[in-house]
Amino acid sequence: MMIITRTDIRMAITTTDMSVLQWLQLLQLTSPSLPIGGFAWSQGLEGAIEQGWLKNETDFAAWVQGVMEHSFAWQELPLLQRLHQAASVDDFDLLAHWNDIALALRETSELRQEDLQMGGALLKLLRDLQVPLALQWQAQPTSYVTAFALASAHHRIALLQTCTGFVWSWLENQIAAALKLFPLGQTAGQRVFQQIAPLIEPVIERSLRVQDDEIGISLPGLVLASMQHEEQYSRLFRS
Amino acid sequence: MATFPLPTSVSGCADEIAVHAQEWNLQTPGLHNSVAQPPQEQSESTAMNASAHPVISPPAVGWAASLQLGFGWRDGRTVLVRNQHQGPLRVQRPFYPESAGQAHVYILHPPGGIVAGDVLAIEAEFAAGSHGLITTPSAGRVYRTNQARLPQTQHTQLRIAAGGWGEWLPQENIVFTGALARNVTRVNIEGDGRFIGWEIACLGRPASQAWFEQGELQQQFVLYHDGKPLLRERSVFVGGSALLQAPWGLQGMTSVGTLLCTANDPALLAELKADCDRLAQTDPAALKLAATALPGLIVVRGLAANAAPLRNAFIACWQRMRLHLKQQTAVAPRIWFT
Repeated sequence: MMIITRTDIRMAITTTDMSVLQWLQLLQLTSPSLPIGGFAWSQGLEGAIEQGWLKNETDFAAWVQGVMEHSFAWQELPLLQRLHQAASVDDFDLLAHWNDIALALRETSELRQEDLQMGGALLKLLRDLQVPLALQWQAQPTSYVTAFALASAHHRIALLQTCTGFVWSWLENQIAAALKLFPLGQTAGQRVFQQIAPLIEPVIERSLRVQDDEIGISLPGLVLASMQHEEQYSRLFRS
Repeated sequence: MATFPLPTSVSGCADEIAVHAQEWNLQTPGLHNSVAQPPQEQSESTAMNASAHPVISPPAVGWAASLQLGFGWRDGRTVLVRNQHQGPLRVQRPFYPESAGQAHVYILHPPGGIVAGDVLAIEAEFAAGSHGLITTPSAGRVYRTNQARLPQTQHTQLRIAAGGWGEWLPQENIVFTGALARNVTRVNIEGDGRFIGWEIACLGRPASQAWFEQGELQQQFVLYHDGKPLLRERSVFVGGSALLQAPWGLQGMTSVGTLLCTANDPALLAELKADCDRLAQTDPAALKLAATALPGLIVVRGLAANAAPLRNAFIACWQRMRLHLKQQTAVAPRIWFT
């Protein structure tokens, strides 16, 4: 197992050169029309709205900001960085190690299902497209973060862009979910994007300084919302 | 973080209390039933004997203490086959309030709280056939750290062998504002070993209107099954931060807890979900509770305005788990009600 240091990750992130083809591949990977079923999941948002915790655009923006500044800084991006690095050097033992940890960090049945279903769907797509890394990756079950890292590493997309695309894809999906769950207009959705987008770079910066044993952050309110969503009578989303 | 407060009076209390009061008298050498007397113990006892003051004041650099326990099955009941300690952390003898020979063990931490630089290390092994329950006689206290901002640490490592049954049910940890608390509980489960356990934290002292405005609690509750990570719950509660009030965080509640039970049992999950709804309905503003299932694991999470309703709800869920899994009503450790 190769040891990847934080210095490696910090050096990798300063490498930002990308060809037009790589840009296109990243846009494709993060597109809402990528057939992995991302539209079906709300990550606790529907539960939180049902509980009456979020009532308007301001509440929603605060929810998205809080989740991003914690989950992505301390959990998703540090995982993605390690998985991307491991995939870049074909280290499948290390990939399996971080894949296991990613799955152990899913704290509810629905959050785990979401991660596995999207991860499995993306992995299947990559295999259908004959991506060698995906064909070599044997471990099951597969986290979405792992599958995303396999795709990104395959296209040699640099770490900074990989992280940026990953956060954007999530933010886009949360806004699309909110538009269905709230009486919220299209412009309001774009206003939230405008407000949150400048906060993404500091989140990526913070995530680079997270040590291995610091990875993971539990958000008790989000976890409760997700657990209560399991019993919700009428619902649009699967999480 | 296991602690035992300075007793004001021992008269009229249950026999456990009397035992602990005796245990607490650290100046009397030879009370501990260690297998071997570690050399470090000598120097600490000497240091304490040198002080004429009855109140023990730990050294400014912090105090290391460790405890190693082993549970085994002998002659129809669970016994402590190992009980070793270094420093002010110990267990005297198990209690047997239950009919199936479960050993109830109380971890005592006579200084009565964790100060800057303290490191407590607890290890327990549950052998095949044994059924041990570990708790603490009172809430743990993590005080404000010092100017050097030394962290205050508790590391707990449990190993449950196939066929063993281990329960980790410490009373809540009260984390004072300004504390730098680190609480790591790692459980290694082998085969069909059974684990039931909880961690309950109370941030600040809501009864005294002393809110958690500074400092930090970092907590990890990590389960491995046959060497593979099963659950990694890592929490970081920073005093005065947005997380304490936000709907995705603690929602203004001061107490937060997780109760885990290794089980692949949809019927038990359904019962627990009904229990959670019923318990939370009694006072929705003071208690939020929900349950979910992960592969081989049932998880109950709660938030509460103070520790008592959360602890009581977890006790009710623990009794449900015991009744369902063992077809026997659990007898709670008596110390919880004294």
